[in-house]
This record gives sequence, structure tokens and C-alpha cells, in this order.
Amino acid sequence: MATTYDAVIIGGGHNGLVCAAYLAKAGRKVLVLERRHVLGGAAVTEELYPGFKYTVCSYVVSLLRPYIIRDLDLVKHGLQITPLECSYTPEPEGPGLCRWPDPHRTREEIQRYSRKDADIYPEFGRAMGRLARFAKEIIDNPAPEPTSWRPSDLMQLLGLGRRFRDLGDDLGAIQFKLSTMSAVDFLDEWFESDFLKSPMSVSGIIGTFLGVRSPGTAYVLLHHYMGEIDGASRAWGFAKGGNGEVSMSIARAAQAFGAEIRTEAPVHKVLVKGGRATGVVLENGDEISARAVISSCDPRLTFLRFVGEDHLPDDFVTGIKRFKFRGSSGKVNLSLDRFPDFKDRPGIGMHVMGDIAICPSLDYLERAYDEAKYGDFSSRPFMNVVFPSLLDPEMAPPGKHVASIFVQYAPYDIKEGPEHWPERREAFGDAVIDTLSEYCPTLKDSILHRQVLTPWDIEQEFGLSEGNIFQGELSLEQLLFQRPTAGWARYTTPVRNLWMCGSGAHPGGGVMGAPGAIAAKTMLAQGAV
Amino acid sequence: MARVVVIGGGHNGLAAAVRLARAKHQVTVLEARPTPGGSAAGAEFHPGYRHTGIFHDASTFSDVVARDLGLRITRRPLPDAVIATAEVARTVGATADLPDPAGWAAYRKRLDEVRKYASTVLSEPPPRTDADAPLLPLAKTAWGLRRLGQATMMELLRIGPMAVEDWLAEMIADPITRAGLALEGLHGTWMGPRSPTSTATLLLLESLRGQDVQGGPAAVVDALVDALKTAGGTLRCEARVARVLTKAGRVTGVETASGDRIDADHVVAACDPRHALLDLVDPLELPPALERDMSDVRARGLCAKVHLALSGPLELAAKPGVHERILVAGQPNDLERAFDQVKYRRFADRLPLDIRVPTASDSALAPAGHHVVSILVHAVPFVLDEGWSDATREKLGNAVLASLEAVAPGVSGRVVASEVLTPADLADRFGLPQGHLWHGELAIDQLFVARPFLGTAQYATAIGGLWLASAGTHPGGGFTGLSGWNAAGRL
Repeated sequence: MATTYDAVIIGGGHNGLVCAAYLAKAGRKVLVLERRHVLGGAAVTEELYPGFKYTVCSYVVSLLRPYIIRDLDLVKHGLQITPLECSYTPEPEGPGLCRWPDPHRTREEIQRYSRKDADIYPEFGRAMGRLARFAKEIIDNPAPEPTSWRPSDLMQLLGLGRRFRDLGDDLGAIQFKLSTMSAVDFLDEWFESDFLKSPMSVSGIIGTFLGVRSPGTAYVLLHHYMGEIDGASRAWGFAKGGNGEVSMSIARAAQAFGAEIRTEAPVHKVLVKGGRATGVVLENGDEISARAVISSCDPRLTFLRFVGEDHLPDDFVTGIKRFKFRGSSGKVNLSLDRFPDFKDRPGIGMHVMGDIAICPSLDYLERAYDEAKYGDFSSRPFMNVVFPSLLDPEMAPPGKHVASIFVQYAPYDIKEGPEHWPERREAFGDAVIDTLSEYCPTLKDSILHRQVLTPWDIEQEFGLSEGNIFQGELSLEQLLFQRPTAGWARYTTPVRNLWMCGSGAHPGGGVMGAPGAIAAKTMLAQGAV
Repeated sequence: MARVVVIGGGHNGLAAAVRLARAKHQVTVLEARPTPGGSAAGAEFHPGYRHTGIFHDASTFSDVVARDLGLRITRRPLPDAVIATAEVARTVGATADLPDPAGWAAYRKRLDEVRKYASTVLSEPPPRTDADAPLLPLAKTAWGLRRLGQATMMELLRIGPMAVEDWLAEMIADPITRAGLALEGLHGTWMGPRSPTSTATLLLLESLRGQDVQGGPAAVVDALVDALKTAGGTLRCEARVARVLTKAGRVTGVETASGDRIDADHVVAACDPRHALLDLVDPLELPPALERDMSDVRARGLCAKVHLALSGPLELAAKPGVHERILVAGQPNDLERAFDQVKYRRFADRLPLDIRVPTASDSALAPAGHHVVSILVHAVPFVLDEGWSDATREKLGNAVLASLEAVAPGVSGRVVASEVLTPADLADRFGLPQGHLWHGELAIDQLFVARPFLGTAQYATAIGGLWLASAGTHPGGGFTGLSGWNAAGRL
């Protein structure tokens, strides 16, 4: 008889690994099964061109919960995060805007566009910082349940209500507006310069199939103020070795606590007997039994493929089928022979030691979205560019560079049909390179290798349905107690002993590790493993 | 018995005035225009041809208000709407002629559930939400929501934030029906059918909808004016208020543009709240944060109005006969594309049209055999890059006629006269902020406890005796009379 595990975890992405580490730390016998040959899911570093390491999908760290770093001792296991030094928005003609950690330098930069905006920018940051603290309360705890009558749930709701009132009338009003407004409408209340609002607004649309003027995008702006590195509030950081190293440090921690991890072990089915999950069947036919099965895959994959509709109640299946993915972004990774200078700020300076946003105006962003709405990729997309080799020299050979380009919009549902993405892939890559070349004229001549990932590729390669990087849109109706569907936001499922721990669960996507950690804690508290 | 001045003789001002006059207060309504009713009033736009209101739909007018004020109006079933394209026509309403009746039934069922809850919330002032607010009214509102039952409450919380096209697509397979239904839900918003939260607006507007009123909004205005006279109130037209007079943080009266001073214990501002607070009141009387809060209220008008006098009926290519309500929206993506243009401060060549043919039920509005076509044109921005001028107005008129011609070929040849009112015209003529009919966009962050803005949703203001009562206050949009009536109730 094969070994029985306390828990078997489907998927070795960062959330699956975090969950495994917490359970192993609590003394449970845990097995993680990863389909690919590398761990990390969408947080991987891969050398696809000799000597050049790509942070293939996700590329920066901002929300990785500090308590997870402490609890799992990730620093000891190799996690090293370098803060990004600048948020740079180049202009096609002109010096562009740099926002620095130093408020005085930022002020001077913003003043070139608007004195009024420069004056109010720090106040905005303070307000958002305080609201981010309120938001952390939500992302560090299980989702509230507004329809439950259980005293503990009512207490949680009351507690949130009290914290909301503690914000005071002014901040409370801002929080209220943030919840449903569009990023642009919200920023319009503070700022006048289009060129400042553009890079600020884009944090509201990353990973969603919405435009900066779509209601419901403002609240994501808070994410930019929630980041913490080493206990200090910082926006974004870069992990030494790329985001694959984030995953690897968690994997090493999990293994140190005794978890077992297998790669190239694709799961075929979750075994369900009498309404209970009893284990999994691998694609090679092996059966693995476990007291609990935990899926870090997205809800569609988990329920409609691994579990099967037969084992699920109808209204639950309806809810899962309605859960929206609509991947909207792609990724281009480049190996570069030399650094491609930006037109009006040439050379390797601090301005490129951070993230670089290509979004010259709000209309530009909105046009990019409009093209995608009707089934095309944006001919002139929004891009977020990072040069990992500047932040960690080991990412590329000396003097050479890698570029990581996040691209939006690339809708999963192109009008030809998603399966036709492979035929459009290179045209999409060309649009990205052409657009970036307007800012970096020497870019094309310095490219040694390029990897283009469309939403279709992200789905095929990484198992993210419709290529959604957050395992399901972070739209208002898919958050909190409704993620992935009403009544099932606390990591449980209609199948007993089957649990969820990925970004498709509360509090959602981004390299946070929160769903994995809270799921593990919930299971331990309930004695489920 | 208090002396009350009501600024603005629109339907909300009149509703407030009648309620106060019936409570034996001494009420004077001051209206800037020569006739009462504001944008709800009917008018002769060409000799012999009358329309029944800029906003031509009276089906949202509140029964609670009509009964309480004893208004002499005749309710009648709302005519079915015909959703028309060049090739097909769908009928929705009491009867429905649709490819998927099951989807329509599911949609109606959901609306009925929402209406039950909404009816309790809309006809009273929203609870206070500030840090010192009493908890009981807040708890009552939350309790009402929970009482709907877990399934319905969760469903409302799920669908409210959704894009109306996404929600409708869950139930209704036919895209043309969806576009038509979405069009009605977008009125007063700055959204397209693919904008999140547009379901919430559709639910709001649809839960306000009841039976139609014979004679349209114009008939409601007439009834309100009658009721005001009966109750002993005074209506003065061509009396533009220039200032609200205050002393030590309390109103003492108003001064008109012609220099008349009218003493009052209370002033009810049924005009645009921004105009009331930022133009009419001495800035020194207001708390500093208020100016910002008020300026932040979004009221981007994107509706134009066209009135056509036709020498014969409006004949749809896809459905013969005379129809009173017609929606021209095309496919959901056509509607979305029309809205896209608004973002770039332009209007599309083909525009979404919300049409009423008042002569279908009242032939006296036009010469025998002739018809009046009243068109609310969607997706026409107040802020136009080219600017509004005679030339752009003409261009708009042509785009509207071309859009109409597409579903009703030959209509252009029957046009005897037309009136085209751009959002800028609506702003000039009716004092509508940026031409916005509801004095503020319908958006979740500008509704209920946050209309006109958080902390000022109970109709009172920072100035003693100054009240807000226009559609810029709860419950806002739709021609309801509830804002004025609620405000008077508070007073």
C-alpha cells in the first residue's frame, strides 16, 4: 500500500508551495505535485537563451506578505529583494517623468507638468498609505461573510465596520470612492496632469480586462501603496534571481520543514468517493491518497477538469462557469546585446533601475483598451518594462541585458478565436517591439532573442485558464466573499476534504502568498489536516 | 407655519413645494424660465407640434408622491418597447416577442426581487454615515438587505458591480434584445454596456419604473402646478434667484436677479446642487471641504435631444404599425462603440436612440395625420473637441437622422421641422450642469448615502434652513419627484 499523505497539493506555484510549507511546518506530511519541470507556476525564472535568464511571467515583488517571509524564514532560504529605485514614464519626445523614493526629487519632476500636482502628490501618498493599512486587514484575513449568522463572522463584519469608521469621515469617504470608481475618475479628484495620471492609473488595470476609465479600477491603486520590503513601505522590489527565486526559496523552506515535492507529475483527476476527496490520480495512472486534497490551480481547472461536474451541486457549477477569466495581458522577454538607450534620458542611470511604464496619455491607454474590446491586441499597447539584468547582474552575461516586458492588452478572445493566437503571436511581438522602439530607437538592433507569450501561451504553458495571471479577474463581483463564488470563499469546496489555496481564492492574485498561507492556517485551525 | 422659498420650478421643486404647502407652510416657488417644469415641461417646438418633456418618460414618476400630493394624473400601462434594427424588431414589455422567452422571464424575475427591496429604500432619506451617525438607521438598511434572504442578497451583491452586458448575457442569448435593455439602463451614466457597475444603474432605473402617465412628464408638471395652487402655494416665473441670503450660518431669504428680496425661514434648492452651493451661497458661509466635495461630483452630460415633426407616421422597416416606444441600439458592441467616442470627446456617426412617439397616444400634439418624434440621443458628450456650434449641432442632427433612417427608411422625407438640442443647449436652457439631466451621474459612488456626496445625503446642508431637493440628491435619476418630496419631508 502506497504512503498516505495528510495533504496532497496540486500545483507547485508560489501559493501551493506556501501552503505546503505552512502545513509541513505544523508537522503534517505533505506532497506537492507540479506538472512542469520547474517549480513556481507563473513565478519562474528560466534560461531560454544561453546565459540569459528570463523572469518568464511575473517579474516584480510587491505584495509578498511580510509575515510569510518571517514565518517561513525565506531570507535564510535565499530570498533577497532589491527595491526598485524609480518609476519612469518616458515620453515619445521629452524627458518623461521619474518618480523616486525621494519625495523632493519626485516633486521637482512632477512640477514640470503641474505645480499643483506636485504640491498634492505627497498628501495623496499619505492618504493612500493609511487606507492601505485598512486594506491589509482584509488581505491578511479570511474573507468576511456578510450573510452568515455565526457569531465569529458577525464579529468580523462588525470589526471591519468599526475599522472603517475609525478611518474618520475624510478617509472613509476616500475609501468609499475607491471601492467602485474608475482609476481616472478617482485621480481626477486629485490631479490635473494627464501625464502624471497615466502611469498612476495603470496599476488599476493590470491583469484586468478593463480600461483606466472603467468603474471598479480605482481600488487596485491601493496595491501600489501596500508593498512592504523588510518592513518598510516600498512600492516594488526585484527578487535576486528573478521571481523563480521567490518560489524556490519557498520550496526550500517547505522541504526543510519536511514537505515532499515532485515535478513533472501532472494530475489527471481528483479522486472523489461519497462526496469526499480521497486523493488524486496522476496522468501516468499513479494514485496518491491523502486526507486532504488542496488545489492551487484556478477554479475552472480544479472543479471542471480535476473534479468534474458530476460531483458538484448545480448552482456551484453555474457559479464556477460564470467566474470570469478573460486574460488580457501578454509578456515579451528579450535578450539584448547591449542596453537600449531611452531617447531623452540615454545611458544606464537610476531612472532605468526600476519599472518603466509606456503610457503617454490617458487617451492612449483607453485606445489600447478599445482595440482589445473588439478582439484585437493593442497596436500600441501599455507596457511595463523592467531590465532585470540591471537589478541583478547574474541575469545576463556581463555587458548584456535582459528585458521583461509586461504587455496589455492582449485579449484571450481574439476575433479569430483564441486557438489562432499562435498565428498572431509574432505580429503581437512586433507591435510591442515597434512601440518600444519609439522610445528606444536602438532596441531592434540589440535583440538577440525574444520570447513572446500570448494569453493562449500562458494558458497552455502555465495552466492559467484564458491566460488570466490572477487565476480569475479581480473584478468587484469576484472579490472577497464572492471569490470564486458566493458561499465558498473560505477555501472549502462542496467536496469534503478538497480545499483551494491559489489566487482564484481570497484575497486573489499577485505574488502575495496570502491565499496559500490563509488556506493553510484555516485548515489547521479546523483540524482538517 | 414657516416661510419657504423653493428655487427652481422643475418637477422636484414643485413636488417639494406642494408637500410643504399642503402642510400649511407659506411656499413661494421661483422659476427662472417663463414656464414651470424645467426639462420635464412640454413645449411647442414648431407651430402646431408639441413634445411632452425633454425627458420624455414619465413611467418612473413615483406613485407614492402622486398619491401623497393628490396629483390628478392618469396612469396607464407602459407601452411595450420595440427594440429595432434595420432587419429585426423585438418587443419587450407587458408582452414580449423574443427569441428566448425563458431569458426574459429570468430577467423580469430578478427585477421584481430588486424592486421589492428598492421600494423601501428609495422613498425615504438615506441613513447618515458619518462617524457620529446613529447606528440604528444604518443597521435598518443593512437588515433590509439581509432580509431578502441569503441567496437574493448574494446575487444582488454579485450582479450590482457587473457590466450590464455581462449580466444580461447570462440570461438573454439574443444580442439585440440585450443592447436595447442596456440602453435604457445607461441613461444618466457615463458608461457603456461593458462598463462595470452599469448593472446597478439599470436595476435602479428599472426598479423606479411603474405605469406610464397619460400625457408624459408634461402632464405631471401640469398636475403639480394645479396642486400647488390648490394648496395655496405661489409660483413666480421669470424670477431667477441670484443669491441665497444668509446670516450667521442660517438662511434669511433669497435675492432675485432683478433685485427683489424675499424673506424666508427655509430655502429649498431644487436646482443643480453645485449651482446652489457654489454660486448662490456666500463662499464664506461654507466649510472649506464642501467646495471640493461638491466640485468633485461628476455630471458629464452625454445626452442630446431631438424633436421631429413628421408629416406621417414613423415606420420601422422591421415592424409595421405605429409604436410609441422605440429603442435603437444595434448590437451591444455598437452601443459600446458609440460610448467609446465620448471618451475622446466626439460623437459617433451612428447614435443610440431612445425614442417616444407621443402622438401615438395623443393625436392632439400634432396636426391631423402628423406625428411628433421625441428622441433622447445617447453618447453625445458635453465636452466636444470641436466645440458645440451651429455647425456641430447640424452635424449631430444629421447623424441622428441617419441613425433613424437606418431603421426607418424614408423618415427623412417626412420631416416637416426639427429641433436639435445639444448637451450644451440643455445646459444653457435648463440650467443643467454640463447638460446632465439628473444634475449628477448615476454611479455607485454617487448614489444613496453618497448623493450628492457622502455626508450630505439627507437633503440638509451646512447652512441652517438651506435644503437640497433636485435630482442631484437621493434617489437621483429617473423622473421620480422623490428627491423633492423626500426633502420636503425632512424639512
